[in-house]
Amino acid sequence: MARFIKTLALFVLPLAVVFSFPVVVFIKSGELYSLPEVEHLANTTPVLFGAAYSNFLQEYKFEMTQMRRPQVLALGSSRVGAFNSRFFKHPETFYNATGDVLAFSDFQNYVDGLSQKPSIIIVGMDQYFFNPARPIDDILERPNPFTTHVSAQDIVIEGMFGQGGWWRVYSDYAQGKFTLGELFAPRHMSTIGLRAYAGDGHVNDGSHYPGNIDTDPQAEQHITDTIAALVASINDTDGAEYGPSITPHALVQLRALLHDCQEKGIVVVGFLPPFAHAAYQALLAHPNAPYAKTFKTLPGVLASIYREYGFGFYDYSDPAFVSGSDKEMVESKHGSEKLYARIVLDMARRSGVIAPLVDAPMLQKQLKAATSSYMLYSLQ
Amino acid sequence: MTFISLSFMIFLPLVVAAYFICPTRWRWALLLAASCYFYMAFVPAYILVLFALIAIDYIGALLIERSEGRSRTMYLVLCIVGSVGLLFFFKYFDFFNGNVAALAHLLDWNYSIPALKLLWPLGLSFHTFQSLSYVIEVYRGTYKAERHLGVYALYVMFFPQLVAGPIERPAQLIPQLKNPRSFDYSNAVEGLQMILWGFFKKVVIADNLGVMVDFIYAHSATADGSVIALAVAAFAVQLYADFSAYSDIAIGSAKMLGIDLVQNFRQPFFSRSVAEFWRRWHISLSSWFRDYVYTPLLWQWRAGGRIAEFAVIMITFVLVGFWHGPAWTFIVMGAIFGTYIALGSLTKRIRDALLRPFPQLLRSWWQVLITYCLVAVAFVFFRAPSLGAALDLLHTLVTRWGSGAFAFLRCSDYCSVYAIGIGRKELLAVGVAVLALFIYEYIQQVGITVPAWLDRRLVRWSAYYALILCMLLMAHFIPRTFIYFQF
Repeated sequence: MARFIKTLALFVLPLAVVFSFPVVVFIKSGELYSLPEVEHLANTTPVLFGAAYSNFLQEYKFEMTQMRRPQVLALGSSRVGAFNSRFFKHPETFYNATGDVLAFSDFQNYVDGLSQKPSIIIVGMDQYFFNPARPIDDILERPNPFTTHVSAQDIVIEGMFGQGGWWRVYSDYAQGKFTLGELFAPRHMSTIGLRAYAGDGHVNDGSHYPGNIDTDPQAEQHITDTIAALVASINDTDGAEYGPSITPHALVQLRALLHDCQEKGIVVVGFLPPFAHAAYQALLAHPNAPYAKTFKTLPGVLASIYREYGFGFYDYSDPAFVSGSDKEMVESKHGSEKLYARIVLDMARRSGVIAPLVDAPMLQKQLKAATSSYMLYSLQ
Repeated sequence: MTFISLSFMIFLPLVVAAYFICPTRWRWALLLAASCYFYMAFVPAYILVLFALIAIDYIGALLIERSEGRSRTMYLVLCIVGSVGLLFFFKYFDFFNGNVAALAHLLDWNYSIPALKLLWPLGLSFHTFQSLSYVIEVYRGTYKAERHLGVYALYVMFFPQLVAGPIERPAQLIPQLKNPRSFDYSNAVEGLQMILWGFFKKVVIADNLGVMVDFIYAHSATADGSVIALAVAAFAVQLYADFSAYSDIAIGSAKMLGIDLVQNFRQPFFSRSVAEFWRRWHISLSSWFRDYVYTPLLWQWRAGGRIAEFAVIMITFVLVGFWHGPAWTFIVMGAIFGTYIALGSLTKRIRDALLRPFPQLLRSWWQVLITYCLVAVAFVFFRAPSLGAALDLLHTLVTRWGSGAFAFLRCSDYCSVYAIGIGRKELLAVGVAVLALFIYEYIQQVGITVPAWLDRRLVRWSAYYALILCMLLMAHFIPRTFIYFQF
């Protein structure tokens, strides 16, 4: 048996050597923090949470919403990430559950799962939910993610192996995405996960902080590149991005959601999140008629459905609708904090539900005073 | 606790170490405790079903041994009724009840027995058959009834093969449990090699093919014939990789404890006929049916000639299909295999005559290909959720071949994902892994002697590290249970 143990130890040794670096980095960076640990920190100290190699954001945001019991909840895909609690008069009543909706059924599951319902939900109706070219189980219906329990073992396995974290950590280190010095240096806030060490993550109110885009000299070029890539993909006939009509199934689900919220006394404020102006124009101008048809009719169709239930709906597909520009986009499909401040101001002007929640003159003043193209507030 | 889990990776080494540290006379107790723990990691309460099965057949076998004549047969029948009754109650009652209810509805009868909707105890079909083989062997006088209740319980519950076989026979397993071997270096190494190979087959081949097959089956209504063909061909390989992986890990785990389990697969996809396929596929089940159903029935009906022989084949294979699950799809799958074998036997001379002018090698490969296609088509009924779905799928497979056939091979990664559920690079990677599997199996099939340089530690260890690397890079790490766990 001793011989076997020796041979086995010798065999395992190279594997142990290969894995020791990722293990150290993962432990030190907080990539392996369990969700209760992250939630505890987010409820007690300023936090920037951004795991690079695992994605349990949905489960985390849901748990946080349960704990925070917000009155106003922003719900949607990553595209609603820039809603900041400081836009509102009472920041403590707001939580941003960005990233929690990947399929339309997630809206309903989220609302159903909350033990205490919010008074108002601001929902980002991503245009792709209404795209008949995408399979229904991809964008409309999928298993409820808010009932699964994420164990510490899930995080270890997903983080180390699920997305190849153990080897990606080597390539990220080689590319200088992080240094060991950064990991061991003291921080003024709890930084959890390697993406957070690069400045990118979710803060205590759930909003997304998009990293050091103000100080990164390559950021502007990178954003321009993502917009150009989206425009190119829109013009690429292989993209099959949007089909010829609005998916009827999505409209059925939307009606069910609005009806349910109405029954539960939740006020829904819906909106179409912004594309970069150049991308939106490319979508409208595409020679293939279906693109333009869908994009021209979608806001009207959705607004009339919202109206049926007494709710407001707003189209912000183009930053220009709120006097914004591509300079205020942080990526081709993601608006910046500044752009979302404009959106909130516009909502406050047009919606009797949002108006009392926002100190519009103050927010206007903050917008004017902002020196950054993207950000309104500094990291806490 | 499944084999592909962190828990099992901790559990197995602990059990192996404890087993060899433990005094020989208490090893059965240690293994029994470990097996109970292993089983209770799924649904703890269902261990009571297992205990009931053990009690029935333990007592039954002792009574059979002590009796003669009609009472001996009566005890056997009671054992069979008891064991199969448990299986029926948990697994088949709702199926029969549902069908009777449907018939009653059709005939306008009043029928109101509700469905039980019970969760099946894991691996119940496997340990029921293993337990039955014991009482039948005792009845036949080929094996003496086991006096030691603990050892008998361990025979039924031995954790490596508890939930998905191989289905062991008493003469093979019980003596090994009663007389434990001391630690053997080569057994431990061989066991680890089998476990590693099993892990590779499961997480690299079966799970990756599973993503594609699941996607295509879910979108079969809109899929092209070429995409369906890919799913049909891939599912046969997925099923093989998945189930043989379980068997490899089971056999390897037992081997580390110095216990030899029976071989469950012998390169089935190199079979030249469906009959041969079933001699190489799930051997422990097919040999069980051969020994306890096919041969006795054939003997009973020996006067009936070929018609009786074909009837016995059909009965056996319908039962094989039904063993897999309480659904018409499995029954039809069994009937298809029975028909293949009966027709194969009927047409053998003609087929041999037609193929005679061709060279032997070409003949063999042609037969292998045809067998594979026949098996893959029959397995559509294994995978499809209903008979209607299976028939729709086969209809599409035959009729919907347009100009866009195999478009998933030519279009971008993005559109490949939308057509078959995985990107072209993943398809290529899993294709290479499948090829590696079949090359390895071909080497085993032909019996090529491995050159000495290939057997050097450096080469062997490089191969092991390569397998581990493939697993780390290609595994999904989302728990996908073994397909045969449902039985």
